[in-house]
Amino acid sequence: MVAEPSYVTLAPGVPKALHFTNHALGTAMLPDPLLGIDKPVMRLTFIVDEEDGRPVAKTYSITSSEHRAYFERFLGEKAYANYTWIITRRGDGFRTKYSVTQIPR
Amino acid sequence: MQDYLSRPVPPQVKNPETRLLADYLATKFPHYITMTRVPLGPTMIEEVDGQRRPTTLGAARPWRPEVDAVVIMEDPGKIGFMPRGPRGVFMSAPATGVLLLIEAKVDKYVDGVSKLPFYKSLIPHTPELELFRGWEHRMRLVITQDAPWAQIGARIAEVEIDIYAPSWIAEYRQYTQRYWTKEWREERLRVNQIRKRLGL
Repeated sequence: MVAEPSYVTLAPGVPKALHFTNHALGTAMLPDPLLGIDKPVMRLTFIVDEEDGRPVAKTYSITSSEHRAYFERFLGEKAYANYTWIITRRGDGFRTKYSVTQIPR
Repeated sequence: MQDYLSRPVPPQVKNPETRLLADYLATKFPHYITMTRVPLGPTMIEEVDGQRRPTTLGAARPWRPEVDAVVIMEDPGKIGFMPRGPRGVFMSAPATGVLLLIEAKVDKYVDGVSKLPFYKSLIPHTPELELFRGWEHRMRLVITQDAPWAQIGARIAEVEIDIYAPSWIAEYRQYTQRYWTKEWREERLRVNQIRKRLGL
């Protein structure tokens, strides 16, 4: 049996339904593939307790500023916990885009 | 002014349309299903081993136009969904209802008015929205300040206009209006020259 990773990964074009219970906003040092250096990046991390309808104990990390901007509106009072989020990633690198469907619970 | 210019871009100035859309949907439609960046229109036809086949939804995504948001104006309890359905997310829906297409624009209002009727025309051809073909399809442009000329065009195109200006829009406008002034251009040039001298 292969152990499941403790973080959520999104395959391009495949929607994933997630539910978040908590979050942390901070800075992480991430490698820049073009410059070959580590550089500070703002990272929003959610605690995920449900993935595609299954109970899980995982995290979902966001480093894309545009993707993060969408969720910032919901961070106060943890309003994100009131929704199931279906997130679809497409594209790669700097052209990665995210579609977000929010469904009230 | 130099202190202010030397600081990074204010966070509220980045991705203003994404912030506007998130703010608007959360404020106006907290109890409805909303979708952002919704691809519209049929999937492409590609040739595989000499046969013409439609591309999969995922593969066709980058090639299709996208509307900023779609709101399903119906009780979410009446909409069946699962994230990995063969036609996208939705599995069941009532036969009638209202589907609201939304474009949120901070500046380019003409783009918003002109895109929406085109997006609306693609809904009957969108596989992911197949269940909503019999619904009424409305169009709404969300803008941050009144523009009489946009109202005239919108009326002809049958697009509703909603003026919505969250508090951070003032900060955004202040920043963008100053950006091209002579003082700010000269200050950016000065900072860039220093960076170049320092080899940064």
